[in-house]
Amino acid sequence: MHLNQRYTNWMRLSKKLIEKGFNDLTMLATVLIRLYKAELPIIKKAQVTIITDPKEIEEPYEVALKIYEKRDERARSINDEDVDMFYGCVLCQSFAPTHACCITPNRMSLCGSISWFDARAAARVDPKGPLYEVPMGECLNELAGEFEGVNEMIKKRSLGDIERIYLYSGMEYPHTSCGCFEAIDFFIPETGAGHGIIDRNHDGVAINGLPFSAMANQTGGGKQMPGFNGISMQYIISPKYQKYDGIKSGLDSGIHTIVWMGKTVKDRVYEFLPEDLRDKIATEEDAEEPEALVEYLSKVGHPALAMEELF
Amino acid sequence: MALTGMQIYKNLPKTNCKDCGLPTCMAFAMQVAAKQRALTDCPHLSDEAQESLSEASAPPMKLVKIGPDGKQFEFGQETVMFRHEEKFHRHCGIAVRIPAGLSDREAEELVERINGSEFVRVGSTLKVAFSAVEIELDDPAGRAKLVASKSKLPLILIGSDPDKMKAAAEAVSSENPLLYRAEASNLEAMAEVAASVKAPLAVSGANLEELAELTGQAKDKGVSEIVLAFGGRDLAEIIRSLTIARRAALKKQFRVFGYPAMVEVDSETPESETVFAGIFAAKYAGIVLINGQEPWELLPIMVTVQDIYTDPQVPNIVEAKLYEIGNTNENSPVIFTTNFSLTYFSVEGEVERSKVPSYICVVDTEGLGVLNAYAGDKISAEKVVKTLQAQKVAEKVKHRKLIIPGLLPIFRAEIEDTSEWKEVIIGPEKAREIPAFLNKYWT
Repeated sequence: MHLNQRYTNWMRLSKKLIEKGFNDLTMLATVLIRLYKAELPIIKKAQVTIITDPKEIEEPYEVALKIYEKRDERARSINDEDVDMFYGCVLCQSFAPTHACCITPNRMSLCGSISWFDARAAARVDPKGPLYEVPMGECLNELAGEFEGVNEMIKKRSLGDIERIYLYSGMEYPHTSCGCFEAIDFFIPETGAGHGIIDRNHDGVAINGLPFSAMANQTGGGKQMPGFNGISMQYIISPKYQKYDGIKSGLDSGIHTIVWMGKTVKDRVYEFLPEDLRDKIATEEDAEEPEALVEYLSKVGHPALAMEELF
Repeated sequence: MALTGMQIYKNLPKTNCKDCGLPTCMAFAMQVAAKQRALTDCPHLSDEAQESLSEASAPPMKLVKIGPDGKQFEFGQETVMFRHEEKFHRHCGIAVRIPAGLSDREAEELVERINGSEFVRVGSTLKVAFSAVEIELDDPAGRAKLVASKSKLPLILIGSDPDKMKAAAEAVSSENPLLYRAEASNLEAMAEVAASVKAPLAVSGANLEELAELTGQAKDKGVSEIVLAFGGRDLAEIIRSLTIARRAALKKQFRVFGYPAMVEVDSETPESETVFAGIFAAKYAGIVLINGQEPWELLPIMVTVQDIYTDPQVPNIVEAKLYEIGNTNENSPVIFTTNFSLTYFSVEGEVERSKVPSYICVVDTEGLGVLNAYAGDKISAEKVVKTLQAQKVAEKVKHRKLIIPGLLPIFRAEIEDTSEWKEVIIGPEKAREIPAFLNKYWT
């Protein structure tokens, strides 16, 4: 089951399976090997080790995290302008038939598991598979991140439902989401041009009174929903993050539109946020309601407060 | 068109007063968008906001009703361009013309024939939807009343003279007939008749631009139930108009086309009339007006409609039980098939035709045919065995022979190994081969 991916992997076994004689994890391992070899024909031999001791798994887990960090670092080293090919992913179309992700160096898949490098590798291994090349085509709007090739791709993959996407905007022609995004960027109208970000791990409601699940319902499902976008955590610290919205509101960049973050989000991205901004972003510890938030932002002098309403 | 949270939010007071029970106006807007709260739950909604929001959330295509309570035909309020997006909601209806040139007796006979034009297919009864009577004769009211008294179906009144239409419409106003039709030259007068009698009005234009204007004018004159009428000999042009009208209504909120459509089929031969009517029925026409009355002319259109207007997400199913076809006894053959209506009725029909009394054990595959069920993991040898057990089939017959669909030969070994049905016979792949098969192998 594809859910929040590189940090979490779920596998559900039905009672019926147990009744039929599944009583040994080596059976699972055998299935895994067969699946991997079937999906990736370049694999000739494979070995599976299953660790069930929580203490024993700590070390390899750290190793995995370090590998992810290195990958992320490498992913951060290149920008959209440096490449001539984007990639698309339709792994989630069984859940959201009109959704496809467009994966760029500055914008990884919103499930947080497929970077531009990963997508490139996967597309090479199986060009007719769920990950595929998206020739960028002409750049129609540099600030918004609108590309002819991306529009064509999404029109085709959504069977005409979606016709254009601004890759760097959450308010105009936003990228669609399926359901497995890591976080949600939501517009907070009371704060002028401000946005908030909440992730799955957040306890309780966001500053707008809605919990993650309620917003996820509106955000997901393959519909273009201005003001509410499913995003990956990586995208938050990308130089292109909602750049169009930020610049259009008269701010320095997209990240400057963020006025509130759930604590779980802020902790994860704090060190990557601009220094002059990160302590002005409120969490639930600083404000619990929009009015209190406006006061707080006014006190710390957050730039977004002074800006016009975007819509 | 569903309103987004943001669109709804724009119309709210934005005070976060919490009187609706939610902490912010944005939260409320999202709930309304998700249809979990009603817009009217906000006690401080301004009148302008209410109006603009309800205008925006009204269905893009009107629902039009023709006929009196008890035999009413409803169409319109369609929501999608393609049935696979959701489904087409209201069946297209066939209207058979009763020409003015017929004598009263001939007209009566025709109405009786139309009344009796019913066919059963795949468990449903297919019928004609309207008696469409031409009223341009000396006594429009008389003809209208005659047809109304005899017809089991709602009426369409066909005429272009507003005075005659008025006479006919007033004579049968309680029938709520469709007035067919208004065009540029008579729109005002026709609209007045429709408004005064409170009947739905079919409106046509020389082109789409004119039609858009005319429906607006009809609406201004007080006609609320409007039908867009198309016709002529240019097949491509009619399809184009039907498509553009629907697309404009559904996708662009173009209210002047926000009505159901109909087509008066005009063709050179009866054969092409049937074919064209079927095409229009599949392509957004809610009523097809034809001259044909013979079963061979009606049935192809009806079957097309029956198929197109099914719900792609909810297949028609029959009850999953043991069916006895003919005078069965303990030596009769046992066949199994799935509970998809089309599958079941195909098999049942052929078994009847074979004149070999048989048992048909229907397995619940959630409405999938044999191959789809197999591919979708909705049928297995195990499930067949369990079904036979649950339906107590072994108590009905002395033998233990089971005839299985020719498309599932792979089940034979497992059924023989895991049940008392020790002689599994692989039947034909196609239902139409069943009679030959049964007569060869079961006598």
